[in-house]
Amino acid sequence: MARVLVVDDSMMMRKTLRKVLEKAGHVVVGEAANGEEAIAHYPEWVPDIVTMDITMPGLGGIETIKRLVQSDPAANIIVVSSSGQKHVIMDALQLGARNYIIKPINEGNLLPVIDLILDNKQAGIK
Amino acid sequence: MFNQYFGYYLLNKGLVTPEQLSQALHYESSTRVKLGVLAVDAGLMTAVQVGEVHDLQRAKDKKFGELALEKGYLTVVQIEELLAAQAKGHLTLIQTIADKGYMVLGDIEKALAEFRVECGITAPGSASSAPIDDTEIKKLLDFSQAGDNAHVLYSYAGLTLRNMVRFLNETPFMQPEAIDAEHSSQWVASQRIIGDLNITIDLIMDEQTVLKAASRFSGEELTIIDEMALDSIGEFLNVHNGVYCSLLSTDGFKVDLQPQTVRKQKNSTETSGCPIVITTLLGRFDFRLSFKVLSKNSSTS
Repeated sequence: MARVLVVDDSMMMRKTLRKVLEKAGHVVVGEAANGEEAIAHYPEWVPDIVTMDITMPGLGGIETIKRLVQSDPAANIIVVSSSGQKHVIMDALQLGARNYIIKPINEGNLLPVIDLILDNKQAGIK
Repeated sequence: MFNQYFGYYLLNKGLVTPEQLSQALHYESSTRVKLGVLAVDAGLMTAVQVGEVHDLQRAKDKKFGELALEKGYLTVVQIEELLAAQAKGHLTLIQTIADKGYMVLGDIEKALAEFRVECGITAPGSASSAPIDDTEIKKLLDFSQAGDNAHVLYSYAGLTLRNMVRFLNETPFMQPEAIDAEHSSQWVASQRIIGDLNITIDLIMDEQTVLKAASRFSGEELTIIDEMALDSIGEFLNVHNGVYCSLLSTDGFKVDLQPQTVRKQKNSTETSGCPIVITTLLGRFDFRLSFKVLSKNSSTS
């Protein structure tokens, strides 16, 4: 079971992510509609995993990844974005994101990534 | 597109690390795909046979194709097809991963086969994702007046048809001419692509189409225009445009998406641009594309 923080400006996406995660037994500890909210609440919610949208009003996903990893180098961030552009993926991975999923999301593409990150976390693999 | 999706697959399976994938994506644009990788992707040779030919290359001063022909692994026609595929530059990520030693060719072969099964790609060689064929669309739509932007419109129209099936599970019909619909009570979802290409995309729909499309996309039964319905239609446009940006990225364009907005249209002059009109059983989807500057190979506005 993972404690997950969902960051996405779309209410529909947050609802879909919550539905898929909770059905699989994970706990959504919080939702944020932009980067500022995610950074503000991250220390309070202490998530195992963060799902991070890229295109958001205000602080976007790339800058948010950078700031979250600076404050917590052990942060486990999965990019969940409509953007499959090479430079976006490269930037996110270089800044410390662990994985990425191109929307739309479903059980098949989300849950194996959550499981992999949980397994790595338990095994002490970054 | 193939590189991004196969990269995700390798990462998800723990076959490469995030750092390795980032490095491979960085170097893949300058990588030349070798015949051995193409032959494995096409299902014409196994990784073991490719390794055998590579060993022979070290002993003899001959090209890969010549040796594969001598061994009976490839025919002349197959070699010509692989050389043609080599010129297209697909599979550069795989070649980079092999060159950097992140995975051996045998493991890549296995991963490719499993990737095809999991993605429902049955034909070997098709993993590299064929470009959109816009021949049929060109018969229906005339974008000749759009000048340098015509190819963008044709590829966007082709992708839109595909995504109507993929995201809404609907059979789309493209209207050969844009007939101005009644623009009162219409909703407009808008999003901008910025970077090497600057495009504003407006998607105009009536209320019933918004509700039906939003319900289909979100998997929720939505009966009134509320925040959830408008958010769902905006996210549909965002995901659709995200796929388009991925294709542009594959073609060498550096672009970014701006956050989408959804608003009630006040009058029909509010939205302009080249029309791509698609009808489905859910209703009419009126896409309008406006270009600001095309800057990759020209500065035509």
